[in-house]
Amino acid sequence: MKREIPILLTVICGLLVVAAFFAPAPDAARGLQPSVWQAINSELLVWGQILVAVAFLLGIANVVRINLRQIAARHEDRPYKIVLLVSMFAFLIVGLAEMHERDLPNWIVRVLVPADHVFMKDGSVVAGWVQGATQTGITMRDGDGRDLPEIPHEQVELVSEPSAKMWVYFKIFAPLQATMFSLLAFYVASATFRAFRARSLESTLLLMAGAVVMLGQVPIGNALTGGSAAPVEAFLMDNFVKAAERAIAIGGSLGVLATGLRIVLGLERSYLSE
Amino acid sequence: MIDVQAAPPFPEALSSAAGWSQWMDAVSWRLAPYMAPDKIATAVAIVVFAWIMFASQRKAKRGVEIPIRRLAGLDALDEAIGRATEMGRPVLYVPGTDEIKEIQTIYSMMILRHVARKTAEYGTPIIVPTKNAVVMAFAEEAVRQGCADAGRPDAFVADNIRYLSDEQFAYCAGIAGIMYREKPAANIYMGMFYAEALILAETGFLGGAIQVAGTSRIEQLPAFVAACDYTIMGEEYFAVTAYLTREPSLVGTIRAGDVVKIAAIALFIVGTWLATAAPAGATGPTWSSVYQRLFG
Repeated sequence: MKREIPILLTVICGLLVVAAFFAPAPDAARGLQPSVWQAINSELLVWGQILVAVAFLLGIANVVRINLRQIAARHEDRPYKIVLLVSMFAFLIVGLAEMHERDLPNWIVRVLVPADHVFMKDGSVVAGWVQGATQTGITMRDGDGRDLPEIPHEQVELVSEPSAKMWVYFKIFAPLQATMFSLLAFYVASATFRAFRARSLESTLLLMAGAVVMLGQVPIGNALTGGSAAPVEAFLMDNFVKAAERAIAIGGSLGVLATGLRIVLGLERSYLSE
Repeated sequence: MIDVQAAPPFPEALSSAAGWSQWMDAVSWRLAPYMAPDKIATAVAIVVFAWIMFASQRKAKRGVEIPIRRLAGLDALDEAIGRATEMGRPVLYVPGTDEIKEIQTIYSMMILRHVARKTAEYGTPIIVPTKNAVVMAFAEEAVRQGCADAGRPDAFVADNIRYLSDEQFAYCAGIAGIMYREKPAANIYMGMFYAEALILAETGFLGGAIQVAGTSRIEQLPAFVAACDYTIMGEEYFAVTAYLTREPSLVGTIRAGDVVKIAAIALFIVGTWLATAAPAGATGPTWSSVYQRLFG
């Protein structure tokens, strides 16, 4: 039963999703209402999101378990593991504090959530934590949780609501991601250099085709060849490359279809434990 | 409710393109409450494919030998694991960067089970970094099951199935770190890859590991071909488990794909001929437009 129930659930959910895919779209002109299959599909998607959220906790547990064990074992990479765990929990705590600012004790808000600033048209600045906006003005609290007098909208020049979470994201995380991505340029050059060495007839043809495509792609290359590179490049891309791409895509699509059918019909079970 | 009076009538004869076009209008209209008219052809194609698949599976189960051409990339999987074993270093298996709902990721889990069985047989550690917590749970099960298949459940090391990050380049940096620090002798990339493909493959190349990659994502194939020792591409990727296990039902699926491809080639030829022969400037339905509506 441990194996049959997951397979049965897979088959039922799979068939429901397939039914929703083929169900007709609502059409008021022809009197077609949203089908029950589409409603079920939407509900299943919500269930899927809940499962993913729960699984995310598993991921955090995995990170903590593996890294704590290595820290305890005095692994040579221990400093990196400590940085990882401290960063992860610091970001988590700051993010949660910002999300639940109104429900937290004032001293936690003062420590974890940066104060907001309202710049007035008369040049003064009001510091505190913005609680929201009414039709007439902005409501704020001070560091002791006391409500400040409502600030009328017409007196406000600018509202600054700094976020520690977003600061970390944009000032640290985004540049680090960009750094990783920029490595791609160098790796493209090194991989291309190896791939384009003319060691055989095939690699020589690849080298020639690559050279023509590169010349055709950039204005200077096209200018150097008197405008002849671009049409040749377009011919290569539109005929040889597209034909090969479509052949691979058709083969891949059939593989996807076959595997999908096997899973939906419960024939493919090797991804489940026994 | 649908206005039945407004339904287009069936044609009296199906001898002309206009008749066929009218017949399709009538059928589409009547099926509209039950099925999206633009998906009828897709549904028919899936049913036909499923029928061919089941027929091929039955044939394979009856013992009829269905040959599969030699795939160097798949033979290289064993070679890569053997090399890692000889060098006493781990195998790194990267299951791609997409979620478990992506069919390539699910298929990667099936391949992982086979690779884990091999590594367990050879007593070689396998490290599986994942970008998604759900994929991590699946990978744990695949490796656990692979070790059990090899009769070595003790070879399963939970700490080697690692969740790194949901962010693409943080995941990529984490894998690069594993390559530099734990120095795997064999890197296996199977699944859905995006811009990180070349970064991973080049980092692995610089580390001197033997590399086998498999994906049906066309955009990243050149990156793997340039940087890896062996690349399994397109349909070959979905033939991995059939090729490695030779299980009749899986081999039957490969044959079904081939039969459909032959049928697709025939459809292409007929469609090309009809499009070429279609009268220029025709205002009404032509055989080409009917054909396009049926299979387009």
